[in-house]
Amino acid sequence: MTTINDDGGTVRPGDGDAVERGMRLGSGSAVERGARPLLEVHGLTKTYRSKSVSARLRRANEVKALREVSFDVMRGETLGLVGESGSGKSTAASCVLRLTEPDSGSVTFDGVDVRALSKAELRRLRSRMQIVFQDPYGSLDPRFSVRELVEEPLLVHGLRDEKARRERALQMLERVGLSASQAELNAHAFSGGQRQRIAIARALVLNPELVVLDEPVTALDVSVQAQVLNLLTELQKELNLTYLFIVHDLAVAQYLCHRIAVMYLGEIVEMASSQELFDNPLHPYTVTLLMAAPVPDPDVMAGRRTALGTTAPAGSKPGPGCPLQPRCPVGMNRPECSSQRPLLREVAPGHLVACHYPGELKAAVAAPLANTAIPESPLNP
Amino acid sequence: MAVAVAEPRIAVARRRIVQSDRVLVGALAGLALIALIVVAGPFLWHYDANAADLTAQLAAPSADHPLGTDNLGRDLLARVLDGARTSLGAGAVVVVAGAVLGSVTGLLAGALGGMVDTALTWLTNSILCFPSIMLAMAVVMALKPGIPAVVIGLSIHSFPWYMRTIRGEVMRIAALDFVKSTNAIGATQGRILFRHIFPHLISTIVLQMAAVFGASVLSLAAMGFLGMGAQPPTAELGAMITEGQQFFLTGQWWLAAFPGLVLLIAVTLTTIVADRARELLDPRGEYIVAD
Repeated sequence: MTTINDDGGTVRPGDGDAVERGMRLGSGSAVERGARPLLEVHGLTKTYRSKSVSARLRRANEVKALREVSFDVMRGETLGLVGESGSGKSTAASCVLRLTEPDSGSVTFDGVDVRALSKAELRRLRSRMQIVFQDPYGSLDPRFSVRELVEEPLLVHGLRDEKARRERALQMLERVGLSASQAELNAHAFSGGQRQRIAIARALVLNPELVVLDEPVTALDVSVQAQVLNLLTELQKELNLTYLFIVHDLAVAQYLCHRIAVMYLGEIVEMASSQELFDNPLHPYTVTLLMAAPVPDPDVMAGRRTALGTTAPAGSKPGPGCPLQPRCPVGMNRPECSSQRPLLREVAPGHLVACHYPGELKAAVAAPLANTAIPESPLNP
Repeated sequence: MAVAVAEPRIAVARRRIVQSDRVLVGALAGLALIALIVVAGPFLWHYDANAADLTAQLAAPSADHPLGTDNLGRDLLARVLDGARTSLGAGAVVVVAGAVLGSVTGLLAGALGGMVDTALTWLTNSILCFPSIMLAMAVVMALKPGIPAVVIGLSIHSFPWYMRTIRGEVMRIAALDFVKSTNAIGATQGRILFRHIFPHLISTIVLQMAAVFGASVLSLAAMGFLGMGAQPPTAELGAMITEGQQFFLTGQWWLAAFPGLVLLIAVTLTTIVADRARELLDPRGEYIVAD
């Protein structure tokens, strides 16, 4: 079943057989089979440059936040973007909604080229794609009452009828678990979890199809995280929402995502269905990420070894090879890894990885991994 | 259907602080009283500020002339009332003109950035190179001596202060998540600027206005003192102090003392208000909620 693409060509996720990939998703998902993806992202690139002219000429201080990022999201699906801070996952989300202008690449939403839209057209399209931010304290204007905050999207999109607007807002607030009697209060009367519910109500009040969740539970207490995640899953089923879920907590990702894309230094290094990724991680970075996730068992934790150097060696310049190569035990001394950038290729149906030697690190550190809750994969004996 | 709108907690907390701050309440009450007296002056006191009574020159304060008379026999109380109206009124005009000009340019620079921002920053930096009196003098030279020219000069000098603070605040607030979130729901730039950013600037603007008011009244008086502001026979506190000081040595102290006292009280009160307001209306938009 393992069909490694030997020619090394890039495989764009959208190029694969959508029907088959749809079937591979976790059971119970409401993904439409055989349909075109709701969101197609291809070759997204974004570089942040220094403002000073001399630094620009020397190409100093350039940060490649995104390099050739491609993925797609089916209707009703949740795609997780995971990675450490600075891996570009939030930038990717921001570019998808065109809150940040990417340098190049394309974003297609339901067949519409988002990057080609005029400002007015983009504003209209925003009713169909929404975002929930990480910080529920900063993302709500402190001068607005909760009702005004939830009504605002309706007002912006032309619902002039005050009574209808009010009714819809209150209905939405109740749906996310707030009472109508709290609607006239200011946002700071609420706790972090309640504020995030308000932010969710504000994002969903327009009945969007795609919702970008930019670490929506990271700022919350663990007990509240579960409540908000449950609310998000319920709402997804109820309203047939499509989520692009930015997250760095793997446990959360596993809980909510159908498919997961792992990002490292602005690139997607591995992408597979959630089950497949946890069962059979192939990229050394993914393996390390999974091993770094804490397990409530001190013996397991003690038995683990850190597979990668924790940070890239100081002063190292990104070479022509694999971005992970300076840290990677597999590729550290291999000429291919330092000279040739591995391209994202499909090694199993729906499982994409950007590595010259996929699966090797897993074999080297299989013992400690086997002790965790993550079972061995039949695909990689 | 009347909907009882709950008062935002900020407002409640603020009102509580305002009520408990006796110095602030006292200063505000004092300013209100001065404003009332100045506005109602002509109805409160029967003498005309410009009516010379040559039989009563340089009269000491008495029941008939509570503050005495000047060298032309004009009633000093009437002139102080009139002068305060001129000075404080002109100060208010400077404050409002500066605030309007400064807010517009500050919003433009902060929201548009780029060339507009560079040009406006360059312009305001150039203006701030001059002391306010120098700039006002230059305008007086270009136009003609008198209150309008001084008001124009001082307004030009005061707007960069608003512009700079507002520009910075617009840029700071524009980077906050709630602005991004409003952008993400598809709001127009105008709505974001006026409904989400501007309301957060009001406290900054009010604060700046209170701070500028005292300085403007003093600069106006200084221009009057230098003879470039109000021209005779217009009553203006600064000019009255100049005229009055020559009589200090000959014993007619009231001529300079009373206008000076009114100026001192008015400016001190506004300074107190500005100072206290700074603590209450935190310009960073983060609120101290006293529970």
